[in-house]
Amino acid sequence: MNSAVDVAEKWDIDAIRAQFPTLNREVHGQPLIYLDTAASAQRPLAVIDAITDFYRNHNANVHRGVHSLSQEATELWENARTTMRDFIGASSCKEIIFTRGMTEGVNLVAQSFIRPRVGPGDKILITAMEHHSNIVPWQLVCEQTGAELVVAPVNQRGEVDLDGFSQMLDERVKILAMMHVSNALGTINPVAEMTRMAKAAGIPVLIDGAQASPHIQVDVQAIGCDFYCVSGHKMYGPTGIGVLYGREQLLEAMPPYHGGGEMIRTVSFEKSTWNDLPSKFEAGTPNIAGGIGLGAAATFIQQIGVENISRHEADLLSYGTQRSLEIDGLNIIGTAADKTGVMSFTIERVHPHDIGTIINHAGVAIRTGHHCAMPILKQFGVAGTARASLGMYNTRQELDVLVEAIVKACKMLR
Amino acid sequence: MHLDDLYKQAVLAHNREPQNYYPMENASHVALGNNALCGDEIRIFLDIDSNNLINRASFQGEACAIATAAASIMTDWLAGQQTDDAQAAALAFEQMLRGGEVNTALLGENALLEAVKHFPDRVPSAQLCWSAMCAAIDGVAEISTEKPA
Repeated sequence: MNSAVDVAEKWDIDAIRAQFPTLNREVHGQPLIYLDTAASAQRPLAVIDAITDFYRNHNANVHRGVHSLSQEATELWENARTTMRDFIGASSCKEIIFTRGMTEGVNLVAQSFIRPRVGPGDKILITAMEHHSNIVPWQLVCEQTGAELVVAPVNQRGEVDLDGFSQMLDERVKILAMMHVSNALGTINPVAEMTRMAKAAGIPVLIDGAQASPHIQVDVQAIGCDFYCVSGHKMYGPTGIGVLYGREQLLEAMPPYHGGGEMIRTVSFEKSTWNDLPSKFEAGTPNIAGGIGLGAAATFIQQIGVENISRHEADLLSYGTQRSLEIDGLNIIGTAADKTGVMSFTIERVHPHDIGTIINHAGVAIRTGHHCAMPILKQFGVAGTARASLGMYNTRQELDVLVEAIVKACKMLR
Repeated sequence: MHLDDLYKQAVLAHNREPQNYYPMENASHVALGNNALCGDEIRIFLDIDSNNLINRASFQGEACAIATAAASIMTDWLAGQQTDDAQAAALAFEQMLRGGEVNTALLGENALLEAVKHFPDRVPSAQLCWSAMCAAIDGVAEISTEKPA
């Protein structure tokens, strides 16, 4: 990992790419060009090695035994929690709950925090650009309680309309749940400002940080939010693991989400008592290797430097946007002033699905379809887009290949 | 499997200039097929007489090249078919896309889409118009094909 530090100092893209073994492979005889990081990032050796090392050398359950392996596993697992605490700027490990991913974090807050606090006449506020994972858990709570889901408007650039948003902040709103960065559009929402506005109206705030944590600096205390969720696999870590940050005072007051081992202090048939934070919310044997891998991913990002990653990706976004506009009939969906490396587009008379299939044969991996954000695409009048999304390992040359492959696909289809 | 096998020139031609692409007034049977996963949507219109003969078939919708070409070819082929022959062909077409043994002669020009079987994620696209056609015959207004055949 020393190499990652050297890499950061002079942004040695070859050295960064060398950390990601998948990037060496070919697809249909062409070098892989991976432009689907928003769906799932590739994993660096640091993550792969951390997982392998755990299974090869330290594998045991956590918090369960006096034997050496269990103690080593526990130490690795808790070290990963500390790493994640620092990575998102939390003040205490009690505020870092390991989950299966961002989706589980939202469901946990929806069921344990919001469900007991809302009823008919109450409102849950989201934005029009949310991912399904920050819509559906709230719809379930609304069905269960009679609360109403209300949606803050988004303008035609794909930015939250802050005037419209501010008018929706009233005493019946019991939570604001919004994404930090849009997976479908790339928009970086002004989460600190929106959180201030919500808090001024006494509204708790949850932020979906799945698309933010791999690309921009996250500091939950600077944002001032109450809850913040991330997914491991979006930030170069394993699948099936994520973190929910919650303010300690709120987590303390919330009932458990899942029941089982680890989350209890005592169990009897008459009554059980709950463990302290964060264990109260971590029922059952967790995804230990996943958590350790996630910690390794966060350390890797820190060593490269998230500000270096942001700068590199901003350069690529600017270059890629400019080049893609050379394509006849291409229309970019999502033109916010503040964006991460997401290029979502449609092309006249060419369906995204065909583009995806054809350029796959040139080795280029993009996502096509609705990106689990059907409502916002509907607002833009499209059922789906083609989306090229960037990671720290992408290059301008790869974007040149992307553009050439799309031009060829258009020629073939039109 | 080569890309040109999927996007044959004949298939691409049907996509560029789809046949029977219009909303049929006074259609006796209509159904909408959709695949929310890729955003494809095709409406099939049939004119079926009292002897179960399909006189005309047409379609409209927003869909990828494979789904559009499949619908163009299918609606061409349907004119003059009995409804039970059309339903039997739908089964044969599905068999073909699953990689099963099929007498492709039964399918006429629809067999142009056989190579789709090598692109499993595109099977629902080719299947969409056939599912909508069967739904129309069965009197079902809407059908979804989000799982591969």
